[in-house]
Amino acid sequence: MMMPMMDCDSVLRKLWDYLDRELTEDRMHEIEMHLEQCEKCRPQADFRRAFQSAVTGARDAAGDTAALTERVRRALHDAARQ
Amino acid sequence: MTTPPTDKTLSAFEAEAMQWLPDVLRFARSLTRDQWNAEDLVQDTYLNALRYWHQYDPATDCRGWLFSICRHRFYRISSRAQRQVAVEDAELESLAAAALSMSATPVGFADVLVRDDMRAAIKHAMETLPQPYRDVALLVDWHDQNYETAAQTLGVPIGTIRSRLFRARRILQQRLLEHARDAGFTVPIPTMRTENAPT
Repeated sequence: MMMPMMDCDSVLRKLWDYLDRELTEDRMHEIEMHLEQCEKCRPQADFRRAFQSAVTGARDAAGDTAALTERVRRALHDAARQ
Repeated sequence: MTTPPTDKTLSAFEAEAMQWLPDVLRFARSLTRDQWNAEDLVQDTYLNALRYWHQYDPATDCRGWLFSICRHRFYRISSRAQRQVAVEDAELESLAAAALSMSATPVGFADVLVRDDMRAAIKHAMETLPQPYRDVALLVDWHDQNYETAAQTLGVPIGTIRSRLFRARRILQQRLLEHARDAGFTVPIPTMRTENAPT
């Protein structure tokens, strides 16, 4: 038996969870199917993906951590000796 | 634990915990917004982590555990009291997020967001979010924690993570829309659906 397609309101309420991959496989699939067919919800998903991508792209890389790693190791060994 | 760790404990700790130092540094930097203070915070975090290593459960996420200590130490050191959030409802935040992105989508706001010159604005908007929302957004969006690990790191239920995260993203979208408009992009400022949005 075919499952009834999720309505737009339900999809939009679960859209962040979907994009963060926090739903069950079945629920992920349902929303994916809905987005493939729904002209109203798909642009919203596309927008939120772009938003997420822009936000994650704004984070800094850690950079060179060799000196800090050495400093922390020394501090740990000092603490262990005390 | 008041007795010093044995060599075996120290070796086990280093083998498991040191690999996450670059991630802990990035997290510390996003809290302190200062490289030197972040490095001090990382050292403090690791010294405390070693001290409480006997409490670490190897079945859990070591990186999340270190983040949790780092965050705790940051707020302890900086004496910043955590503000309580008046209303936290993930469902309402989902609705409000939908309302905002519906109004933002048709005008090509996504194209503006991915511009290189928006990066600094996004970073600033993220770093200046109100603290409860910033903590969650940093963990999930900048440090790749899933909802469950973020909940463990912050010591709050998953529902709280969801509502704070969705609210954080809504605030970010609103601020970035305003920034884009101020920068001369023709994107209208949407009206927030306050009837659905917690205050």
